[in-house]
Amino acid sequence: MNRFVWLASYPKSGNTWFRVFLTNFLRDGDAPVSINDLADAPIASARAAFDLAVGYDSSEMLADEIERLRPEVYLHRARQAHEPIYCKIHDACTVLPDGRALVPPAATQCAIYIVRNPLDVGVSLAHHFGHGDIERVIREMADPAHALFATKAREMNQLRQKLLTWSGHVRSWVDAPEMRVHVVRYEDMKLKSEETFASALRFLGLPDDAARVRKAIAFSRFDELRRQEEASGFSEKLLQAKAFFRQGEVGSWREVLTSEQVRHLIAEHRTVMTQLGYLTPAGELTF
Amino acid sequence: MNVSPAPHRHRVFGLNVDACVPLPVEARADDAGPADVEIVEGSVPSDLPNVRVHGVRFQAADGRAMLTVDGVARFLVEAGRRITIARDAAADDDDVRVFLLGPVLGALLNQRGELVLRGSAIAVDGKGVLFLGASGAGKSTLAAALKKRGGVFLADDLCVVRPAADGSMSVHAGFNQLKLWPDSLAQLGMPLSGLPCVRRGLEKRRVTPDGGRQPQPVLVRKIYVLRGPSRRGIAFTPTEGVRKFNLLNQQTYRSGFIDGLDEKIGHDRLAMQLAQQVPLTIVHRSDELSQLDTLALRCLKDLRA
Repeated sequence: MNRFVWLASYPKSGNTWFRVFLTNFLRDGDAPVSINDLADAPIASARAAFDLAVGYDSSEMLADEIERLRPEVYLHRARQAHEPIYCKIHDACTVLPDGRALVPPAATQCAIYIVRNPLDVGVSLAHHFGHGDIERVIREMADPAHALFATKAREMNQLRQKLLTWSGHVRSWVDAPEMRVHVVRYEDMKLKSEETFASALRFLGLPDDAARVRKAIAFSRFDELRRQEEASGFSEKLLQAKAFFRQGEVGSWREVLTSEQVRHLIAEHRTVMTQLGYLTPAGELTF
Repeated sequence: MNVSPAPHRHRVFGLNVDACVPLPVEARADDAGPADVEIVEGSVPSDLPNVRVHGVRFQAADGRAMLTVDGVARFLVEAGRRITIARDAAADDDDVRVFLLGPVLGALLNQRGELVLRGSAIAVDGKGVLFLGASGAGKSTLAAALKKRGGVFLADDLCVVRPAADGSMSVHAGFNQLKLWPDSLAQLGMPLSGLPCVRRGLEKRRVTPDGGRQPQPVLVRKIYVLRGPSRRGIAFTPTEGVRKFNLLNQQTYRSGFIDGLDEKIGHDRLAMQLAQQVPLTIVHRSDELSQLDTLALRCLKDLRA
C-alpha cells in the first residue's frame, strides 16, 4: 500500500526543478519535456483530487474538517494505486490535533525533501507572491501559524497548507517518524548536479545510469525552463508574479537583502541552517 | 395526532419535495400532487451492503448512495426518491442544508437519471443561460451581476436540465438562493450586514434573490464555461465539436455517484443532446473583481448579438 513518493519542500526551494529533472529522467526522451506536462500527480493539496477521493464537493467544508479527512484520502489513493505516486507537497509534515499524521507513513514509500538557503528562499518568495515585501516574507517564515491558501474570503482551488516556520517545516519532514527521507539541497543540484541527482535516484530505487542522468540534467537546465515559460507560460506561476523561473541562482540574496534582514533570518533559523550546512559551526554563511 | 416526518412541502427542479427541514424555496399548493421525493430524519447504517463504488466518505450500491459528512450527518439516498438524514448532535440546520442541497441532492438527481450541472442559471430576454465552471470560477457572481441587469434568477449551485417531449433542453428553477462570498458582494454593491452565513465558520453568504420566480422551465439557449482569472483579461472563446462535448461533460455533477453503466450511458446521452443544441463559449475573466461590470456587459452583448 505504500505508494506515495513525496517531493516535499517549503515553497520556492527548487521543487519544480527537481520534478522537471525527474520527469525528463523517467521519460528518457530525445527532447526536453514540457514544463506544463510533468509526470507527477497534482499537488497534495489540490482540491479536485481531494473531492474525487472523498466522493463529494468540499467547497463548503471548513478547513479543519478538510484537514481531518486528508490522511484517509492519502490512504485511499495509495490503496487504489498500482505504481508509485510522485506527489509534490508544500505542507509541513504536521500532526493533527487527534495525533494522526497529516501524511500517513502507511501511504508513503519515501520522501525527497528539497531545501534551499532560507536567505534565497525569502528573496524568491517575495517575487513569487508579487509583493516584493521582504519584511513580510521574513515574518511569515518565522511564523509557526503561517499557511498557504488559508483565506476565508473566497473559494480556493487548493486546500489550506500549514507551513509552520521555515525551520519547523524542515524539521517536520527531516525528523518525521517512520518515514524514509532523503534531503536534497538546491545548491547541490546547482553546483554538484550529477552526483546530487544520481544520489536521489538511487534513494528512489531508480537506475542511476550516468548518461541518462546527464541528459535529464541538460533537459532541465534553468535557461530551458525559462525559455519554455516565456514561450508558452507555466501553469504553476501565480497571476501576480512576473515569472516563475526568475533567476535560479545561488546566493542572489547578497544583491537584495540588507544586513539587518540577513541578521534577522540567521537569528531565527540558525540551528537548522547549521544542521543543513548553510552556516558553519562558527556561524559563517557558506553560500 | 400524527406528525408528518416531512412536513415542509415544496416544489423545486420540477419535483414535489417533502422535507423534514425547511428548504429555501416556496411551499407548494396542497393540490399540487404527491411527493416525488421525501427527505426524512432517521437512522442510517454505517455501511451499505454490496458496495460497488466507494470513496473516503461515500458509498454506492444497488441504487442507493450514502454520503457521510463528519460532525454533520450521514445521508442515505435511495432510488432517486428518498433521502434519510442521520444527523449528528452537534449539527444545526444550516450545516445539514449545505450538504443536503448540494452533493446529496446531486446524488438523488443522478439516481433519477437527471442531467445535473454545477453552476448557475439566469433567464435573459426569456432565454436560459447557464454559467458553469469549477469551484471559485465566478459563476454565482456573474449570474448575480446579470440578474442585477434585468435577468430572472433560475438556479445557483446545481442546474437541472431536462429534455421536453420534442427533445429541446430546458433548465428548471432551483432553490431560491444565491451563495456569494464577501468579495463578490462588495463588487455587486450588496451590503454584507444582515446576510446569513451559509454555515457557521464559513464567510460565504446566502442571498435570497428578489424579483419574480420562473415556474416554467426555460429553454437553454447559451452556456458559458467560466475559467479562473487570467492575465490576458476578459476573453470569449466559442467552442465546438468534441472539445465542446468534453468540456460540458466535465461540468456535470456526478463524481462517482453514477454506479451503473446504464446510468452512465443515459447521462452521456443527455449531455450530448445539450451539447448539440446549445452554443457554448469559454469565458476568461480578468484577475480583478472590479472588472465584473465590464464582464457582465460583455456577456449581455454576446447574448444579444
